Amino acid sequence: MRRFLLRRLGMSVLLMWLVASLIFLMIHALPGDPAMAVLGGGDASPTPEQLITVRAKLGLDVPLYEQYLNYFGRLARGNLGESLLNGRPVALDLGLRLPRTLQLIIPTVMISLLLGVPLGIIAAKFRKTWVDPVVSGIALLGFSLPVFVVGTLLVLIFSLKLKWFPPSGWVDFSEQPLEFFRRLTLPVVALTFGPLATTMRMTRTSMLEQLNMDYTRTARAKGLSDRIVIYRHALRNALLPVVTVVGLQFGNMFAGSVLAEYLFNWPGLNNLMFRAIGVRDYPVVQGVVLLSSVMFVLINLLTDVSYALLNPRIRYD
Amino acid sequence: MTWSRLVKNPRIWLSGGYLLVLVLLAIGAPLLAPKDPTVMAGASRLALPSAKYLLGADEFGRDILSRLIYGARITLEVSTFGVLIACVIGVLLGMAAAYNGKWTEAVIMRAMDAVLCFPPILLALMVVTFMKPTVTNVVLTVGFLYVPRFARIAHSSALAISQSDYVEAARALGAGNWRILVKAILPNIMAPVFVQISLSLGNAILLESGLSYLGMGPPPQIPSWGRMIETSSRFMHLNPHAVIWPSVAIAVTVLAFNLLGDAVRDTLDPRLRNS
Repeated sequence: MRRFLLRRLGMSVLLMWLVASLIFLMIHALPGDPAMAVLGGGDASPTPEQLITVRAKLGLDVPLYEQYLNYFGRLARGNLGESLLNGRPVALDLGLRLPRTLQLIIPTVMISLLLGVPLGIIAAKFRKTWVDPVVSGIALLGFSLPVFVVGTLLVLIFSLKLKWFPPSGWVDFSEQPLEFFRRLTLPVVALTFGPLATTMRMTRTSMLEQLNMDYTRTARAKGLSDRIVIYRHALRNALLPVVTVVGLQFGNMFAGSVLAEYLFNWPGLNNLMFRAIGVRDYPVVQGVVLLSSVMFVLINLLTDVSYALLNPRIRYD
Repeated sequence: MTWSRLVKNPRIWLSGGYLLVLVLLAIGAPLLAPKDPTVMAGASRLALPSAKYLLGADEFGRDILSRLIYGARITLEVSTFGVLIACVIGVLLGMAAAYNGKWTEAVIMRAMDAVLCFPPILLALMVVTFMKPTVTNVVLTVGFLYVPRFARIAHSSALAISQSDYVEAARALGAGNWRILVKAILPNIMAPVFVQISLSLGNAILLESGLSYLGMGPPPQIPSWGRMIETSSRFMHLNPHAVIWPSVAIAVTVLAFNLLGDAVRDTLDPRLRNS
């Protein structure tokens, strides 16, 4: 187990280094010059003095390898640079915005788990009836609906026509708890469709796989009821791949919520990034992409570790 | 034999038929669209569906149906070329990794893992921050982001096949590396790759329409479904048609690609066939 953990941890560190390097490379290898981008994009015609000042401010006036070392030196100390717009440390803003993005992601993942697993079991249990195609069809539809389409239609129906929920905005939970939940409802519902469909499908597939196994046949043969076979025997094994999928989704949602945050004007991480793009505030853009990617790596690490804890067969390979 | 099974599956001809019609509409847009999608008519702003505007008009008085038909062009263009690039590069990398093994495999597959860590839409946003959001740049971004999917599929499929007896036999007969890769391995990994193409096309459409929705996709003068939803959503209490139809177009098209990929996988995967 210790060897597994160490190897997995080493792999995650390697991945984070690769990701951070790729982001660094991308900023330097893309045809656009960051200093030019800061000064107004490809159409701008800044004076040479302006370019020199901005390059120095961004640390672009030293050789590339030195920039690379400086970049990791700063990252190691948790320094993500300062916003070009207002000079605030990027890490500070990320710390402020991250919880608000989590406010969207955590309920979404919880709901998709609490609804998706039972629905997946039902679909697998009633494989040969009309229930399975209906549930699977709904899942396929859920995959195919983008967040902004669901969100826009929800706003149209529940906010503009029925006036049950405000169309957008965020309030602090500690100040107005009820209003906070009113504003949380529509974005969370819009975000839930995709992950719910994935959880449902994964549960169904892996449940069907388990129900075809010899051990479930043996359990049935010795006269155990359907309930016990499904919930006590098959479900435990069937849930393992579901854990992985839920972990992956959790990681993906950091970015997936960008559309919901834009549509519902939710002041989270991605909203910050979006504004930064508009004014080409590239340390902020870089910070958000880096944070999202690192969260993705960390969540996958946690998923793998929990998988190994749940499934003794994994630990020894 | 496989082919006849594919054709008999109603999910395949249903989704395939829809996609064929969509492609034809996109190609023939200048002939088939009832109006010019960019012509504005002040008098018909937010017009409801009528004989003149079959699906109504948007906030500039532009014909929604014509914009939908033209919007199919950009959506299909970005997703098809993006996925094509990803497929060619990914399959080559995956096969090379599986065939060469050792450090080639380690380097390629770890690099793929790293690319997979990037949140697609954020990376795409970052790229268009530094480059202009042109059609080519969006295509290249989609291509880059989807390489790992194909590399992984090709790698795992090719791994099994490169140890098989007939590859060994081909090598014993003196076939070169290229010949083995192209003639012996490639045809045998095409089935999972094809499934991945279909699913990736659906996904690429979600990505493209999401970027367009955020105003970061292809330039605004090109009609696109995502942007139609965003710009018209401010007026949707007056004329919901301008938002509902592009939503339906995106959902049905992505659904068709997912359905096609699923159905092909079910048909080609012998383990699922009899259960």
